[in-house]
Amino acid sequence: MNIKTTINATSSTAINTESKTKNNNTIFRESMRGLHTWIGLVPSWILYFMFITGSVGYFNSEITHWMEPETPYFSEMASQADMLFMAEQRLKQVAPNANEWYIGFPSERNNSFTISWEQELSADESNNLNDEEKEARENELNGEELLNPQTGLPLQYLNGAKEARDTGGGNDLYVMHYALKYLPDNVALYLVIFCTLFMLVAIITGIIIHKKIFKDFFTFRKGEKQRSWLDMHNISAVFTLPFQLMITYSGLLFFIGSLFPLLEFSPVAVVGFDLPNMVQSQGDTEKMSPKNKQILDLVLKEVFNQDQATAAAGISVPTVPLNTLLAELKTHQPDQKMSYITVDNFNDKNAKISIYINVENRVNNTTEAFTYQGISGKLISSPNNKGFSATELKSTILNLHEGNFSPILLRWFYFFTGLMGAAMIATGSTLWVAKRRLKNEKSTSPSKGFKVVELLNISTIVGLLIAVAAYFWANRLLPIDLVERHEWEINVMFITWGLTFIYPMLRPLKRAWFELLYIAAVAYLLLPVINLLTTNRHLGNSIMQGDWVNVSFDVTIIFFGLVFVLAAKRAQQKQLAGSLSTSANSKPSANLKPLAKVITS
Amino acid sequence: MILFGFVFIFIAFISLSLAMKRHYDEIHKHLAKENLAANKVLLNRATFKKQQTIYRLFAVLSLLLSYFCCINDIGIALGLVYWTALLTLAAFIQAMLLTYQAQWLYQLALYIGLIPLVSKITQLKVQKQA
Repeated sequence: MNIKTTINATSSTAINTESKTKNNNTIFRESMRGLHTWIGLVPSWILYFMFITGSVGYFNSEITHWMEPETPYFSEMASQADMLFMAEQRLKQVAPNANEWYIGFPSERNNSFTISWEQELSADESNNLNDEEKEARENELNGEELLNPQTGLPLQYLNGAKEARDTGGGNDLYVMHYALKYLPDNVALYLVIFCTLFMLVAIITGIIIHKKIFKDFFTFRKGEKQRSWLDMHNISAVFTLPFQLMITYSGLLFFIGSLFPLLEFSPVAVVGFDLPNMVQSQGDTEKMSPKNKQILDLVLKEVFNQDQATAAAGISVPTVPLNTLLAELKTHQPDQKMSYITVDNFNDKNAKISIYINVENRVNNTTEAFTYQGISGKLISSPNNKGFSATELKSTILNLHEGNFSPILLRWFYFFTGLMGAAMIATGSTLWVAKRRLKNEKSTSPSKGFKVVELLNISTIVGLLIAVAAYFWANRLLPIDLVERHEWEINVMFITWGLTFIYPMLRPLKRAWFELLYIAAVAYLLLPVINLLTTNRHLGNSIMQGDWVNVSFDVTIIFFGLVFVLAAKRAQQKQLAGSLSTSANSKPSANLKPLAKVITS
Repeated sequence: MILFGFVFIFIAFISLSLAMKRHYDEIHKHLAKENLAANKVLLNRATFKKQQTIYRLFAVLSLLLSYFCCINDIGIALGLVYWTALLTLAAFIQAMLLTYQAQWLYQLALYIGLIPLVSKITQLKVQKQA
């Protein structure tokens, strides 16, 4: 700006072009401002829902652990070699003829030691039984079990329970983040896609219209009516800008198949599939022509590093004990922990064992597979770093969004930044209301849309948080043997949210804000008490047992309860101060100056 | 190492805010109360511009140093992710402190650089003994 004015002073002919450029910049910025306001406001409540459920979703395993208090927590476990031996014995006992075994080891986040098995229907069965009978038979043949990581026996649940209570856990909250709820699949899909797209536009236009992005970087003017909201909106947006850009773009990338449906046909043309047969087979390998099957095998192997499953030869040859493979594995990867193991066709000639290990300090390919031949224990394939750059780039971006590679500290960072993103949205819609409040209060025909936005603001911003607490309350209070219990927990959550929509219609709006905040504070602070009254996994017990997952859940809930108490107190003080000053005493001119500044900045 | 990264980012942000007159005045306001001649501390525009470039240069160097601290132990993939997360956290703490407790920032600016220094010296001492 200084350089421009210098040029202006030295040359008069430059003045016209300079003011023209300035006008163009201003016009561009003004048009982006209108776009940012509206395209930011319209999806803001759904985006707030997505941000809250998404941030909570980063801790889905931990929340599930809290929501299943019958599942014991093991702070000490057997070594992975011992666990592998015990799992193998148990699987030989329950599923000796299964086509595929799965052994999942406990990880840092997930304390459960899982085994599962799958067996295909025999040829007679798949030909002669109808669909219902087939399903029943499959349920008999397939199964999964949780084992005790210290003894290898089937897990004994606490308090004489036979199984963990039927709950969606943290995972249901996380799934709502992209699939919403109660909507038909297609509707939810396109709603989420458009909201994400609008958010990307809102972020980019936000950067454009934020003229003083460096000058106002650390600015937070507290205590002012509108400027404080604007400053908070700027802070929560600008500080988390890399995250916001990444999360929105990668969020869109998840849906790239739906956004650009013709992409699915492009490999067909390039690789040389026989298109009519491919369409007819609908991906079922048995209906494909031999040429298509050959090309598909090649594509899976070269592009996705997947081998097609080999069928059982039917010849019984004993498989080597799985522990003997660990010695071989140590020569390649001395320290890495195993994530899970799959065994195909145990005790068969074509037995194949794949050991998947966790690789740290990576965003992409955090699990790598070593495949061994069952009858000899020989290494068939080890991880290769083959990969097409496009698929590697896509999976890196998507992994950044999901954050599954992240250790616990980074996960907390993701959670914190996600909540700041929710604050960005909340401050944005509050700012929209604050800017138009004066005009609407003074006018004779107040806009209905304004009223709707006001109500939506309060019921979404505070109401959703109360609803999440209600989900946890329902987990502790609903009867254990309720039919479809996991659905009812979610129903309670949405019923509570619905009630918070009705509440501000019945109360004066300004009071409704801090009253709902107090209700939220009570809902969160009482949750550990409910936990104490209904289970024996309360905070005291968790600390003594060293169950740090449950401890951090309870402590975080208490922390948020206290935050709501503070917020409610602030809001109440402001409301009292506002109601004490009459319209004569309040200084409208003092308020208009920053208003004008904000509009023109 | 990530802790060092955080310390250097925080130092960089303090330096960047000191480079802006508005925040410089905020941080020095508590000194001005004791100083009868307030303009001794709250500099005029000309003097200020000279030290602005120094503060900004120092901040950029500090940010670069923090970046290398972050990617040193754990590689560039996770290091970059941690770095951006620490940028967010440090900036947020900085903005809140500027508004609510500017005097803490003054003390922090003086002493926070000692954390990596002391830590490194004790580490070297332990290594020497072992």
